[in-house]
Amino acid sequence: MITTSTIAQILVNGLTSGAFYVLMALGFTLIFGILRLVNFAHGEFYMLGAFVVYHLTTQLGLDYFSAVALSALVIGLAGMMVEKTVFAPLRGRELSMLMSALGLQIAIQGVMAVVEGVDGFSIPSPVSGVYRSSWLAFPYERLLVVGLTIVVLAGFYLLIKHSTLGKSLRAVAQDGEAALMQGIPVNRVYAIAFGLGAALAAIAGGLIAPIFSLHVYMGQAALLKAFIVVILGGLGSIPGAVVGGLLLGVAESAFATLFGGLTAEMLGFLLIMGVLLWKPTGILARADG
Amino acid sequence: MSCLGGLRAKLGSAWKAGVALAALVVVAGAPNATYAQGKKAELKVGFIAALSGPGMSWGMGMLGGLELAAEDVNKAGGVVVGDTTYTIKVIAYDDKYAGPPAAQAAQRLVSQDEVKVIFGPLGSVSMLAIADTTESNKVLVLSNSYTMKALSKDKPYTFRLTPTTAENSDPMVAFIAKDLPDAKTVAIISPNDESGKEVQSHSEPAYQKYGLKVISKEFYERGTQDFVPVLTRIMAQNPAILDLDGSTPVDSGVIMKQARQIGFKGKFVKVGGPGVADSIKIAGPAAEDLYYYSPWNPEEPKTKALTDRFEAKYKIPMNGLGIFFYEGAHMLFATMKQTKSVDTDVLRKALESQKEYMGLQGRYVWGGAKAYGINHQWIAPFFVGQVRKGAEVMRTKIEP
Repeated sequence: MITTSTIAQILVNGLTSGAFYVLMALGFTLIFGILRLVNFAHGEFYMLGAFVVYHLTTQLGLDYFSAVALSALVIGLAGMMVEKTVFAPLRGRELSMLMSALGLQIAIQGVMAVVEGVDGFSIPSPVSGVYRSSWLAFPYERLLVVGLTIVVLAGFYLLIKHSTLGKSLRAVAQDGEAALMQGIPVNRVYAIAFGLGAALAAIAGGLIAPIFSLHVYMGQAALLKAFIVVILGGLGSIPGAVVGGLLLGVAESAFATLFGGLTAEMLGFLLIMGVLLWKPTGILARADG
Repeated sequence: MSCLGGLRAKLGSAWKAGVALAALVVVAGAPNATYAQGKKAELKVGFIAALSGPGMSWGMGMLGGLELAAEDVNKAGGVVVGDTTYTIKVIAYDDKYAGPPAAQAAQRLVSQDEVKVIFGPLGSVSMLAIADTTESNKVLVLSNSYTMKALSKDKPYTFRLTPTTAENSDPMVAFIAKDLPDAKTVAIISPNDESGKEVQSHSEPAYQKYGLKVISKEFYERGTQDFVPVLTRIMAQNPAILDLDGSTPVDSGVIMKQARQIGFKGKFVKVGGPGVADSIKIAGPAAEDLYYYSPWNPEEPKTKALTDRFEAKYKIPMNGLGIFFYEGAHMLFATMKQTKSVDTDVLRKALESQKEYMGLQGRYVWGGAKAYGINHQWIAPFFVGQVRKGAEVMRTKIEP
């Protein structure tokens, strides 16, 4: 029976999933918007981010929040280096870049399987306890993910809309050649965009790891979700990633609670097909980058 | 060189493990070994399982168990058949937990490596994929896998070493029902695949037989990380027990953690599959009181000596599947010695008529005629464990 409590719980669960999807999709769509690259290795940056947080907190004793920030920095810089070495030489050859991204995904996963093993790990949550009322249970660690996603989104919005770097990113997304003629260092912008995307994936990995678990194959499912969200929201559209992520999160939560896990998967994809029939380019086709 | 032995440095140093993996590929891909002249020869036994990807830790446990048994037999002088003394050589292939690579590996083991015995594979899909090749070539298969379809009268050369929930569910649920007399309702959460459905098909009748009503059955896709929506649905039914079915150890840990977060107060049970240590690591205090199937008692001295030996050699913990392949390999090599034959027809008949085998863990027998139509299922002793203060505590041993 559907009660107010059930609806509240569906929304809360969906909001948490949606926040995670938004974080994953944001970097994915940013990279596509700027580099025209479907980054199949995006899930691996998410996984690497989670593992960096794991080692910083459990082995070096760093506090969780500093570890997430440091992880984003490390993975962001690594992302920039990857862009310079792997993708920059292939610029303009979209198919070659796509295959390189696929190769990068397999390589990172393979190396991590050897280094970390294939067992699961867990990061202690920085907060514990559950907010409970007569109609709702909301674990604080999930509340934290939602809160930090809002903070990251706000920071990202300010960066894109109100900074010189943001203007450069938008200019390159609109027309790389025109941006170059205006004196924008396009190659550097490409590297920064990729690094930023990787850092966002790393933040997602660091935030979600205490709630789920971490293992070297965790990026696969996350990548699939990011892919669905950006197709739903509009490939390359940042507002689309936000809308798509939240829509997918709430829809999955509602379908799974009301109809069960398997039906939820099916209905989730039916919803996506329906949305794409209505708006073939996604809900908010790329308006800005 | 031992195939898996080279992996011992994995946890300590990545490059050494890379070299070892390369060695594994070289060994696996080596051409037919040349038989020694005179009365000494190599007896090649094949091995197929996931040695990379998500099933790698299970596959490596199986391979390690087999290799340790081969090492024991070789150190003790090998297998003497007629005037030939055989030393055991393991040829291992990675099937990546998938059917097509398993079928290719079986084809290669049979046609190029000319093995007559294959240990593995790990997964049900792989098991079904190799059957045509192995049966038509009279190759003896001693497998893992959980599917009911693995064994039948039409597969006279296929045996299974690892007991499934078809064998274990009933006695395990009987113990739990007695231990939790106030529990009357159960919800089962299962992965949506062959093994998940298989496990659920065995545990549900067992619960009903012992007076526990299954009030909710939920499936999820492998790879799911957020179980809260499905758990919210289950919680609405207020079950006394949540059975984690054939969920992997990691998924089981995540499910328990998330279920406790949204207020589940009942008991957790895991009838299907070993590997509780990983679940405890992920779930932490949420795993407290979990009832689980355990293929061994880790504190039993002989078992502990074996697991210590495994860990010292491979630098990774031994898992539950490893012990079945250690015991099963010893059982087969002992049968070769007893029958003084490596002919698969002779060995098959000897296994079928074997009354019991006394191994490290105790008594093993062949059974399964009722479930599969053929007595090719190894029935092993096992334990029902419970997590108490974060540690594994064996509550009872169930003998075949």
